[in-house]
Amino acid sequence: MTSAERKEAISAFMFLSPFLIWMVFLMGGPILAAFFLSFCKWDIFNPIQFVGFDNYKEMFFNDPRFWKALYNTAYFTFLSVPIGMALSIVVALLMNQKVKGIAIFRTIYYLPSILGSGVAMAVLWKWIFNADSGLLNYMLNVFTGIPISECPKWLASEAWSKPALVIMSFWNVGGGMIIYLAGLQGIPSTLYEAAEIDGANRWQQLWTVTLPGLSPVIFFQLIVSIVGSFQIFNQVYVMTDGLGGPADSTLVMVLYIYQKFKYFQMGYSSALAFVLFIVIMLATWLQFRFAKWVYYEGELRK
Amino acid sequence: MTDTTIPSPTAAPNGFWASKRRTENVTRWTVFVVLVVGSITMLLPVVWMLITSFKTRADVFAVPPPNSTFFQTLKFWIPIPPHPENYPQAWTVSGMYSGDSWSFFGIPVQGITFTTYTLNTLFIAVCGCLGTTLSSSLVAFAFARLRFPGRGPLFLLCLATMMVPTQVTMIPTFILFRNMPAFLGGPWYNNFFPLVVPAFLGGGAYNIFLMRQFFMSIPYEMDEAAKIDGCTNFGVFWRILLPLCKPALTTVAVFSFLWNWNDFLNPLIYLDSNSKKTLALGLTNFVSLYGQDYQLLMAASLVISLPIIVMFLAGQRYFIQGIATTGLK
Amino acid sequence: MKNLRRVLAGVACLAVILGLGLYGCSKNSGTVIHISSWGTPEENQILSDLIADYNKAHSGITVQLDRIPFNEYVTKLLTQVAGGEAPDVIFVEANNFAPLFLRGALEPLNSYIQTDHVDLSGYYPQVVDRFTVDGQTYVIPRDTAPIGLIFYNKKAFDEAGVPYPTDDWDWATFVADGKKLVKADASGKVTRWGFIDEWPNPDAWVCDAGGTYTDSVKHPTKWTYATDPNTLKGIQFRSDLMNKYKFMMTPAGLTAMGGMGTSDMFVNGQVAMYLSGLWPTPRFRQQIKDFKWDIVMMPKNPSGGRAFPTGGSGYGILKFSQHKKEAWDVVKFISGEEGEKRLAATGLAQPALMADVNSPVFLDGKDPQNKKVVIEAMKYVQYFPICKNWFEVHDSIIGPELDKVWSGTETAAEAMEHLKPLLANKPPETN
Repeated sequence: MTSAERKEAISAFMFLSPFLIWMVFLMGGPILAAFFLSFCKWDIFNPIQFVGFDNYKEMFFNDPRFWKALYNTAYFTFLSVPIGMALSIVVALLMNQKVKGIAIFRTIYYLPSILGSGVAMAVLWKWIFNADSGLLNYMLNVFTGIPISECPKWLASEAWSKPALVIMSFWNVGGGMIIYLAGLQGIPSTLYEAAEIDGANRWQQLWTVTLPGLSPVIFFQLIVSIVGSFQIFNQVYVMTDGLGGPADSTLVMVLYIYQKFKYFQMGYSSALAFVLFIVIMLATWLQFRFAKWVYYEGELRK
Repeated sequence: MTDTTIPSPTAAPNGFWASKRRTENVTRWTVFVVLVVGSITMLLPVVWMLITSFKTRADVFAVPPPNSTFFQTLKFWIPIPPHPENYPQAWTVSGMYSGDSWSFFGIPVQGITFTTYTLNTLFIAVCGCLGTTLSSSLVAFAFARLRFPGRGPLFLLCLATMMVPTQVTMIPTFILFRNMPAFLGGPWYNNFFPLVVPAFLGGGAYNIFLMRQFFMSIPYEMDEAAKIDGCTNFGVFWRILLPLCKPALTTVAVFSFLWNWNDFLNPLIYLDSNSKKTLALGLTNFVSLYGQDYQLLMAASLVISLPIIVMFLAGQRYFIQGIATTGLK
Repeated sequence: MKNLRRVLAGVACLAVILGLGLYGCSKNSGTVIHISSWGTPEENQILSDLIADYNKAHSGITVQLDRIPFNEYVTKLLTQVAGGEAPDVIFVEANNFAPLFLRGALEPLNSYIQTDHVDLSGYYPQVVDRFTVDGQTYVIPRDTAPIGLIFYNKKAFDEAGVPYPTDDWDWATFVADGKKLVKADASGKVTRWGFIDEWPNPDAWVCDAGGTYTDSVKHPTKWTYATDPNTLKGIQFRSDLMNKYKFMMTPAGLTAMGGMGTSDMFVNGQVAMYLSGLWPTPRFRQQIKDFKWDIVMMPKNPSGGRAFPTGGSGYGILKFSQHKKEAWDVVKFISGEEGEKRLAATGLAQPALMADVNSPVFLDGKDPQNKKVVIEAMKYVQYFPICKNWFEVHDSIIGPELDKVWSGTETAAEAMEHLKPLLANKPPETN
C-alpha cells in the first residue's frame, strides 16, 4: 500500500465511521443475536434453550405453512416488481414534463404513499375489492360487461387474493417515481442534444440515452423493490387482520414470522427470518452478478 | 428561499419527452390526459377519506336504498349536511384523560391532545430527516468514491442489513437500547434516543445505497479536477458532489421525514408515557377492540398527512433541480 | 449551496428548540407501578380516573397507565418482558390468560388474597374458576362476556311477520326466522340479510352445538375438535346458514365492511340478527335511531343444549415485577367495587361482580330491554382449553381449513378429515 492509498483508506474510514458504529453495535449485535436465537427455543418468559438445527429441520420437513408462505411471497414478488417498476418509470417520464400544474400532479401521485397503509386505507381497500358491492368489480362490469356475480371475488377468494395485493401495491408508484425523477435530472442534456444531431428520434433517445443514464437508479430500484416485496407485511397485516387468509392464500413470509413471534416462538421465527434472508441475499447477489447493464458515469477505477 | 442562484429559468427540463419538437402539442395533450386519468385513480383514497371524515358514525357504512337513481346515490355518498365538527373532536378526543399532563419549556400543560403528539412527532421526524440525509450521504460518498480494502464485502454487508426482517431484530435491539450505558444517554427507553440516534449513524442501508448510486453516476473527472485544485476528500464531497446530487438528497430527506412521521412500530415499543407518544400512536386511540370511530380516524389521518402534503407540494421543485440548472457542461 | 445550508441550519434550529422544549418532563419520585391495558376511550377513562384517585391517596407510589392498542398488546408485552421493562400489573383476557399462565408469567395470588382477606365469592364463580388452576388464582376478574347474544332488529321482524325470538328458541326456529328475514331488491340483490356474526365466529356454533376442542379444558392432552361429532355439527350449521339457507352473508360479501364493520350493518338495518357479546350496547344506543332492538340468547341446539364461548378480562401481576406488594394493592383498588360500578354504568361490559350486575346501575331499563338475560347466560359459559398453542392451532391450523368450508368448496366433514392429521401433529402443549 502506498502512502497515498493509505491516506485514502484512512479518509474513507473516517467517512464510514458513523456507519461502522451502527453496523457493528446497533445493527450487527442484534442480527447476530437473532441468528443465535434461530438455533434455540425461547418463549421470552423462560430461559433460552439451545436446540441445534431443530428449528430448521422442523421448517423444512414438517411445516407445510412455511412452504406456502415462501410460495406466496415469491408469487407476489415476481408479479408486483416488474409491473411496479415499469409503471413508476413511465410515470416519472411523464412527470418530467413542462406541463401546467405538474407540481400538483407530482403531489397527487405521491399522495397514496404519504397516507401509508394504515387502518384507514385498509377500510377503503376492502371496500374497493369487495366482491358484491366493490368499486373494482363495478368498473369491471361497466367496462367489460362481465356480470358482477362472475367477477373475481378478490380478497375473499384463494385464487384472487394475491393479485388483489399486487394491484394494491401499484398505488405506491409515487415513491419510485420520485427516485426516477431525481435520476432523470442527472442525465446531462448534452447527451440528448448529441443524439438529436445524430438524428435519433424520441423512441431511440429513450433507449440510447434515457434508460442507460437512468440505469444506476433502475438497478437501485430493482434491488430494493425485490428486497421490499420479499418482506411485504403491512398491507397483508391490515387487510387480513394478521391472519393471511383466506385459507393461508396471503400468508407471506414476514407475516408468518410475525405470527410465530406472537405465538411466543422467538427461536422459530428467527430461523424463518434467516431462511428468508438467504433467499433475498441470493436474489440480490445474482443481480449484482449480472449487473453489466448498469452504466456508471463515475465508476471507481481499481 | 427564492432561487437566486439558479441561472436559467428558460432551460427546459431534460429527458425523453422534453426534446424540442414542434409536434409537442399533441404529445402534451396525450400526456395531460393520461396524467389526469391516473390522478383520479390516485386521488381515490384521499377523496374517500375526505368524504368519510365529514360523515356521522352511523352514515360511514350506510348504503343507498335499492333502486336509487344515479343522483340519489351520489347524494347519498356525499355527506349532507357535512359534519366538520369531527375535526376538532378528533384533535381533542384522543388521549384526553384526566390526570395526564405534559410540559413544554418546563411549563406544565394539563391534558394530552394531538398537539402534544404533533410536537413529539415533529422533533423525531426533523432529527431523523436531518441525521439520515447528512450521515447517509457521508457514508455513500466513501462507498462510491474512495478506495479502501474490503469495500466490496463491506457494501454487501451494508445491503444485507436490509434483508433481515425487523420483526426478529426488534427484541435484541430493544434489549441493547434498554441497557445503553448512562454516558450514552441510556437507558434508551421512554425517550427519543432510540428513535433519533440511529438516523445519525448512517441512516440505514436503503438511503446509503440510494446516495451511492447517485454519486456513482457523476463523472469522476469532477473530483479529479477539484483535487488538482487542492480540494480534500471532504471538500470534494461537500463542494462538488452534494450540490450535484440535490435531487437525490431531497429524495432521501423526503423519504426519511415521511418514514419517521408515519413510523408506528418503533414509537410503540420505545415510548411509554402518553406525553411522549407520536401521532401514529395517537391514531390507534380511535381503534379499539370493540370497534372504531372511522370518521374521526379519517379526519385525524388527513390532518396528520396535511403538513407532509404541503411540504411536498412546496418542495417538489427541488426534484427537478438537477445538474442542468447547476451548470454542468 | 447557500440555499441548502440555510435550509439545513433552519431545520437544525427547529430540532434544537423542540428538543429543549420537550426535554425533561419525567420526574416521578418513589415507586412507580406500571399498568398495561387496552380498551375503548371510555374504559381507559374509568381506569385513568381510578388511578388518579389512587395516586392522590398514596404519596409514596405513582401508578402509571400505559395504553396499548389491542392488536399490538402481545408485541409490546413480549418486548418489554425481554428487555426487563415489564409492567407490574397487566390486563389479562380470558383467552390470552392461558399462554401467559403456562409460561409462568403470572404471580399466584392466593397468599395475597388470604393475607388481606379478600373475598372473591362476590364474583361470578365461573370467571374466578377460569383464572384459577389447581386451586391457585392468578387474575382478579374485571368483567365477563359470554359471546352468545343475538341482537335483533324488531322492525325487520315486524316487516317479515315473524314473532320476536324468545330465549328458549332453537336452531330450527332460528333457521325458519332467518330465511323469512332476508330481503332482496328487484334484481335479486340482497338488501337485508337474516344473520351475521361480529367476526367470523364458528366457535359460537361449535360451543352451542355441544362441541369440544380438547379432552379437558384445564389439563388437555389431545385435540377432540376434528373427532367430536358435535363440533362438526356446529361447523356444518354455520356453513349451511351461508351456503344452504343463504340468509347469512358470505365472506365474499363481508370484506365490504372490512370484516370490522359488521355492527354497522346492523345499525343500518342491513342485517336483522347480529351475534356478539354485550359490548356493542353503548354504540347501538347512540346510533340506532329508526328501529327498536333487543337481545336474546343464541338458540338451543337440536338436543336442547347450549353453550357460549366467553371472553372477559381481569388484572394480574407479572412475576417479573419488583414491587409485587404495591402492585397487589393497586390491583385490589382498581378491581374493587368502585371500578366495577363505573364499568356497569357504561353499558359496555358485564362486571364480574355479581352484585353490580344485579344492580339498577347495570339493569338501567334502557335498551336492550332483555338485558337481564346476561345473568342467565352465565350458566352456559364455556372456555377454551388452557394450552400454550391454543391461538396458533385455532388461528393458523383450524382457521385456514375452515375458510374452505365457508366458501362452500369443502363440507365440514371433509375439513375435519383434513384437520385430523394436522391436529395430531400438534398436540396441546401444557408445559
